[in-house]
Amino acid sequence: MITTDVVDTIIFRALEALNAERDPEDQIAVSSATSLFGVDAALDSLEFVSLITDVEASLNLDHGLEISLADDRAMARPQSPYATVETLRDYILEIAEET
Amino acid sequence: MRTAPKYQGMVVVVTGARKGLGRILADHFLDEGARVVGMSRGEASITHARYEHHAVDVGDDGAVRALFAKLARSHGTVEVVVNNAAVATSIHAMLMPASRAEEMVRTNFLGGFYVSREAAKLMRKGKFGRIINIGSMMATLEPIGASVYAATKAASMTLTAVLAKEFAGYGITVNTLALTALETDMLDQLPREKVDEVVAGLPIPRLATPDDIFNVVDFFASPQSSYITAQTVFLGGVHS
Repeated sequence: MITTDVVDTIIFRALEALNAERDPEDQIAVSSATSLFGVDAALDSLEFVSLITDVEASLNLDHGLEISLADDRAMARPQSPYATVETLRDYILEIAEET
Repeated sequence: MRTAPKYQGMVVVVTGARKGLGRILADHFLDEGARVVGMSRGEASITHARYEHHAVDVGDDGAVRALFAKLARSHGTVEVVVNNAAVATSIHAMLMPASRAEEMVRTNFLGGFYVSREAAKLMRKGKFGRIINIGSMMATLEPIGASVYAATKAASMTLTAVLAKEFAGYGITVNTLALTALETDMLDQLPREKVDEVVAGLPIPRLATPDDIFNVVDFFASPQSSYITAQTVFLGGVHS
């Protein structure tokens, strides 16, 4: 079973990969509260796509979890699971438990 | 003197690879050194050391996702995808069964989308990818009887244009090769007299040959074609 710490690490690593492409003075904060999606998002739209696909790839390759993070359920939620690192992590844990 | 194989070291995915144009293209990529991943609903028709076949319906999103998750583990990435899988039913719109219409939308249009989406996720890491959609002259000739088939091919051309924009930043190009008629079993699904009539009306009135197709596919797939995207090339003088 995948843990909170493991999922946090996966998301943080994906954010760090994005930071590697950014200027030093324009780094994304790497924390549970980092806003990923919406008006306050720290990521632009392409970075958000990269983050989600990086996290999906890591879950698949490193943990054998074939999870789609952009499924109908995620889209239909009144509170977006992509809002922050914490909400994304909780969503991943929730669907990982079902697989 | 034979030149180096064009696709040496590359992983090429061909949908609808069991027969017809897909089979012809899979053989071409194998001849040119690629490792070929074939997809079709049926079992493999090719035996080759560099060929692997997956019995997957491209219109099944879950199956396509699962296959590409597997390819991520086994190959890491893919360099070229040819979205060739297609089905055709030619019949007057008033007589078209819903099941046939839905199958064409699912296979010809959504299938190409699902495969392109999953392939792009793998291609983006290597900052290189070539997605080639197999279109049809039907999209622009709009012959009677081809209502849904022609519409799926027209939709595929629009999809090509949008995906080209979305994937450009990852070094992935997306283009369409719009075919005229080629002597394959797909042609057998259409009334022959209709096909002959359409071919006779082309600026270059003959069937396409495999070499006509390889010429454009190789052009789109070439690393040198990094500045060629969102394009549709029609064979035989057809134009939009």
